[in-house]
Amino acid sequence: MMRLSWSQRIGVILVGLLVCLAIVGPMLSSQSPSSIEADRLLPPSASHWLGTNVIGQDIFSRLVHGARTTLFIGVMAAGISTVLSVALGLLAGYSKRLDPILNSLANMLLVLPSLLLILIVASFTGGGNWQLILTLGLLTWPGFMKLIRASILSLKEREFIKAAQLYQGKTGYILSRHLLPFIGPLVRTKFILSFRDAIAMEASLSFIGIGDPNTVSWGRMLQDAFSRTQTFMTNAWLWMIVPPAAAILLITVALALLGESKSTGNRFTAKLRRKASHAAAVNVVGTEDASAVIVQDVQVMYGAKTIVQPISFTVKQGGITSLVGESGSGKTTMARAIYGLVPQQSVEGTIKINGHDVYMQDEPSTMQRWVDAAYIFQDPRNSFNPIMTIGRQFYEAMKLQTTMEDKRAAAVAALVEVQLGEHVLTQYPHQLSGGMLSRALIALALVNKPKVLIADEPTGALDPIVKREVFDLLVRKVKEHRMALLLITHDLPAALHISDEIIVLQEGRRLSNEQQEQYLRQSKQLYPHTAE
Amino acid sequence: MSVLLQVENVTKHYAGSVKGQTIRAVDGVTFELEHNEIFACIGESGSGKSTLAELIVGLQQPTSGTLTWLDDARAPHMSKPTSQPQLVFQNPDRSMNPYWRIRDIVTEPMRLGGCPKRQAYAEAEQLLAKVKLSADLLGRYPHECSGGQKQRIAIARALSVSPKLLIADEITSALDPSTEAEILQLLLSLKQSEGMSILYITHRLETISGFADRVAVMKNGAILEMGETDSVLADPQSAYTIELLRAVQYS
Repeated sequence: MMRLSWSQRIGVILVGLLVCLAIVGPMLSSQSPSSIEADRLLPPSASHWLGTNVIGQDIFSRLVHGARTTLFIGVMAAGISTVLSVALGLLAGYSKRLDPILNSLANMLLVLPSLLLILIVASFTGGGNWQLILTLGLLTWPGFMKLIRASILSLKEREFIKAAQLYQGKTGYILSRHLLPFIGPLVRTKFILSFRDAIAMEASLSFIGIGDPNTVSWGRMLQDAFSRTQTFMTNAWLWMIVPPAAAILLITVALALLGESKSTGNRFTAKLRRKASHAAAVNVVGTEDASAVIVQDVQVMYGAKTIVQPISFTVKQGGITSLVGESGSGKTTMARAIYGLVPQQSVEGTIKINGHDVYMQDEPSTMQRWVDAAYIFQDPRNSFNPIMTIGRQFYEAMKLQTTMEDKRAAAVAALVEVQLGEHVLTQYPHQLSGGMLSRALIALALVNKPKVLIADEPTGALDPIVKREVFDLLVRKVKEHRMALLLITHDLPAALHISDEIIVLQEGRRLSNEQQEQYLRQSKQLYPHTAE
Repeated sequence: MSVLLQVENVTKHYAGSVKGQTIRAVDGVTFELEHNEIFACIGESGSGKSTLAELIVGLQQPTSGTLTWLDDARAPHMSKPTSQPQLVFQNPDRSMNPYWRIRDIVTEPMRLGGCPKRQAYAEAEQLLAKVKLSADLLGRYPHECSGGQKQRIAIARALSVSPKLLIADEITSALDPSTEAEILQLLLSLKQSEGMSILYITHRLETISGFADRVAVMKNGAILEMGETDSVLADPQSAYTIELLRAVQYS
């Protein structure tokens, strides 16, 4: 089921009305569109609903017959152009052999000025309806064909295409069953846009007098009106120009509304859900506490969905606490909440880092990111901006130093700590290996000497041996600087090895001590080899 | 045990980005896969293990060397897909068409093999039962299933043509440790009930003990060490294996 936005609904209604007009209209009108029996320039009346034109033709009759011509040309030209762009786009994207031919053909057509071509073809062929349809259909496919080709090129790398090839699915089967559904929205948009362009093109060509003078279309009606000076001597322009012009305007606007895509995607609507009882329990925690991180009765909710159930724990200065749990257990959300990355209205309870409240009721938090606490994300490649040198990203994060020389010296010192050379500062992220980037990220986290480090799967994206090196380095630095480390991981053996305290989260809930013992025992059985 | 597949001195070279440079993705690999065994292939990213999988199922052709199937039931030109090796991919989100229902995904190999749609649909329920999933999932789309469920569905799809060899290419790398353990358990029981061999490709050395019968450690496209899993883990010979083992142990 496709849900329509209000603008699309208006588009559907308008297009529907005009199509009805084209179908039913000619039956209602008693006059032939080209008969010249009536008087010239008659105003609208009971026998001539929209009056007559300069040579005495009934305008209503011409309008509804013209609707047939105009819509027919639009549908046919759009149909041919859409079928061509889809078929050729699919083939060019999927077949390595056909791609060079089809792609260069499309490039050639794209380079040619299409309006000029259409004018030349139309004036040579006399501009009958079919000539126009074929010209428009055959010349306007390359744009969308390139778009479809590009998306097929990326889609065919997906494994379900490889799997279908493995099951010996034929090319036609893969194209129609696997790939066509993906470009459905593109096809719809392409058809509507082509429809609109074809109508506009037909109207323009008729208006400048190209085409068969015996057929009626909206563009031709306008041309009739504008080419005679009598039109403007009286009020006749009102019924000669306004109806066809309004019709053209309506159909193009309607198609534009139809083609408009609405933005989809679910957004969490974070709702304010504060209980009075929680507000009362806040003041118990003193700032002079030795704990670097204090989490008290913290609950995280996205709308009505509770991600983290109320939880309390502390991390001591110089201590290591690991949050362990499976994907979806809420451990990353918890870590993000502690660093103040979750919208305030979704978080309940108190979080203090280094004595600063992370979430304040009405004013911004006094906790300074990078200075009071630093956060290391999972994939180092995503943490660095690819178009800035490592050095610039260091200087941006530095809060303690003011002069460039100081900043540089501090950055170099931090890099030396993680066994990286000074030259790294002038390099871009893509010039470093994953392991080097991870080290650089640790250096970046150390550079402001924060009291607290939050590391979310800091080695998740690395190969086993490099992973171990980086992990050991991280732990060594944390101990050297007496930082508090909150480690989020699902690598239980590693967490057991280094942590002072382990907190196991399951479905947003902290396990009780007995449950946790049992969980740890079970996990040891999972990997007997590592539990030596 | 009898041999199912002989891989002899297989190499796969690609042209590199620099002219004249060749990338040796697989570089002279020789081993034998036996009937009804789980053979683990360990290596870090770029060690050539996924290329090896694609060579075995025929998605790519080797530059040199031979792959010989010593299975009587198998027709030489693969006219019947019944004994064709099946590949389960790493990322279930990319290995299933998101526009298809589970029913169609699971039965795709059967339907392409010429089985009538109605009969294939009738068997879909049994296929899901084999991987311990409820038939309720049949009408769903992949995005409505969890990661573990999706990998089970991918396994069910591979089982639909009763393959003699199932290749699992890092199928648990996107899963949680406990889901991973469940999938390994499932593969173990399928090995017994279906009587097939499994080539299990992973970078996680710690998962294979008690699971794989034999293991090969790969680096830079070549096999460094191969043997019974227990003996390789207990007494690794190559320096690389020792280093790998050390990286996952905390004492």
